[in-house]
Amino acid sequence: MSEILNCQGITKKFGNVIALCNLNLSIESGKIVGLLGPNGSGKTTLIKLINGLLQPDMGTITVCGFKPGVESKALVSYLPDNNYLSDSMTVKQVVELFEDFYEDFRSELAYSMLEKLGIDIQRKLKTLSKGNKEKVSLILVMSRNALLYVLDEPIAGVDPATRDYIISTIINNYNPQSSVIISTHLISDIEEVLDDVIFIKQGSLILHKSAEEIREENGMSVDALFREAFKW
Amino acid sequence: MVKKLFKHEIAFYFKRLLPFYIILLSVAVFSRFLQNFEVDFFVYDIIYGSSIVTYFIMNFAVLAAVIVNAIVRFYKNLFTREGYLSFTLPVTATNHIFVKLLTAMLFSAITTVIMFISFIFFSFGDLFAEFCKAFSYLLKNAVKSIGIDAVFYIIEFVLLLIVSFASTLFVYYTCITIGQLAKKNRIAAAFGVYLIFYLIEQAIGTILVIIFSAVSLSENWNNIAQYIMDNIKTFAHIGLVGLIITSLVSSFILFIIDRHIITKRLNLE
Amino acid sequence: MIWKLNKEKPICPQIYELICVDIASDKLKPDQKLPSVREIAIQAGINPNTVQKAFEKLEVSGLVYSIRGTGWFIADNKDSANEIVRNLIQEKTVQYFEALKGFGMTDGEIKKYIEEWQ
Repeated sequence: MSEILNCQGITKKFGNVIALCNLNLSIESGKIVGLLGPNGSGKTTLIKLINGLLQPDMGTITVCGFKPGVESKALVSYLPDNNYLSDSMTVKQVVELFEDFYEDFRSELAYSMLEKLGIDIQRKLKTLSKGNKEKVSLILVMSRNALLYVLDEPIAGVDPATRDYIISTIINNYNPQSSVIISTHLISDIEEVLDDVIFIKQGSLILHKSAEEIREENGMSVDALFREAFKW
Repeated sequence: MVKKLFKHEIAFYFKRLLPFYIILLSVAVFSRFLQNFEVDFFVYDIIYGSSIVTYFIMNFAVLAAVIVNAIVRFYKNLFTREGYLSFTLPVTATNHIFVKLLTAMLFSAITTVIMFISFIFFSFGDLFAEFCKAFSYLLKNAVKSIGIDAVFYIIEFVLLLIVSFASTLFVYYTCITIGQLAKKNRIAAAFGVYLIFYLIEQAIGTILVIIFSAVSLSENWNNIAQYIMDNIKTFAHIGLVGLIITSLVSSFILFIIDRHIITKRLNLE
Repeated sequence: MIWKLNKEKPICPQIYELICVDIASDKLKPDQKLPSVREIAIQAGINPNTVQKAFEKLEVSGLVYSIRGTGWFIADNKDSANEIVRNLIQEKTVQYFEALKGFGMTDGEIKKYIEEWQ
């Protein structure tokens, strides 16, 4: 059991807008954690901070013992919520790119998953359907043997069957040494997979509990509690 | 890890420039081939003339292709959605910047070589022989009048070419990175920064001209001018080396700016 | 195995109960190997830690045993399973009657309703 992520007093402003305010968070290994909050709550900002794509104005972040940088990037596998791969590359070329840059990348696993899905690795990414593109992105990220997986809206905008596939892949990839952070607003579909749940509202962490505790103590699903907590 | 970065960067340029190289070399060969026929047919003249014009245009096209690709690659790979991949790779900002710079310079050199080879194809035979004769004549005369120093001049001149090319690239890179500081319309902002660079260059140029005019109108000018003419070689070297150092310093400053913006102020959309 | 789970309640106990019911109804026989934690987690679409905890609870109740490196197996302990299932049935029945009473039925009406339904 080691600490995968530690945030102390994280504050981030964009001009006059405070995206995150004095956020404290600690995540141990072996946990699948849901980062839940409405759009604009600060989830994406936090994720970018963890990945070193933003610098905090105040506070410190430690990822697997490192400040976000070259060492942490080798240990974190990030799935952004947009289409970040170069469309003109083929599936095979993207797999080879990941192979080149990430020592923990398991190419046989990636190729076997792609084969099972019937995705032709010689095809260019721009010729794939949206669902297949998502699956390819997910396969690449999950084929890494990382310590922290950060998935930003992995199941939004895809059909239910693809959602099931993505969730199965996340579960199948679980190991006690690493943790997964899933940022989403589609809570109902994903809550049974979560160990712990974090609610973020307007830049502040308002809840960090295990999903089972929430069901036990509140007698409702995480989704129902979320709706209550974020009622307008 | 840096090697891999180079590998992918080189693959990118190769893929984009190869068609240009092939077309350039083909047109050169084709033009040369057409030279063989002494046909008095106006359609033939049109085709032959077009091939020559096309050849010259292709030379410009292939140069433009390298520079445009260098700038667009820097922007697209780092500051569009692809940036989400680039900046989560386990490499530093310094790695990114230098790999892009050096690969752009490498392919500029390769392009120049290919242009030269295409010229050999284009002028193969008598024309090329004439060209070689003229060139070696110039070289011999240069060595005769300037002496061994000519070698140093050539080295300094080549270095200056390389370093000022690098600093030009850095100017483009820095326009893009400073443009990233804007909240909206970052590309427009980059052009705006370029305009500012241009104006600054013009201003510095004007100031230098003013200083030079003032010096040349002063009483001591005759003495100064005489001194320079007596020691022309030293001053030439000082001039060249001075320019090299200036380029290096400005490149370094721009690099520091780029690295600072990327590591501390990056905010991808 | 089909997993029908209610998100409004803790999932770990539900897994526990479902396996108990299968043991009591002979769907799972003594010394039969259970699917792995991972397999059940994927089938049911739930967190592997939840399944692990359920298995550990079953072990404490004496319903399963584990062989390191091989997996989890059903113990020869149908009596315990039966008792647990009896308690579950009890709970469910109480809930059912409370629900019917909540609709305003009297005890007599409930009795008649069950006889008709059978």
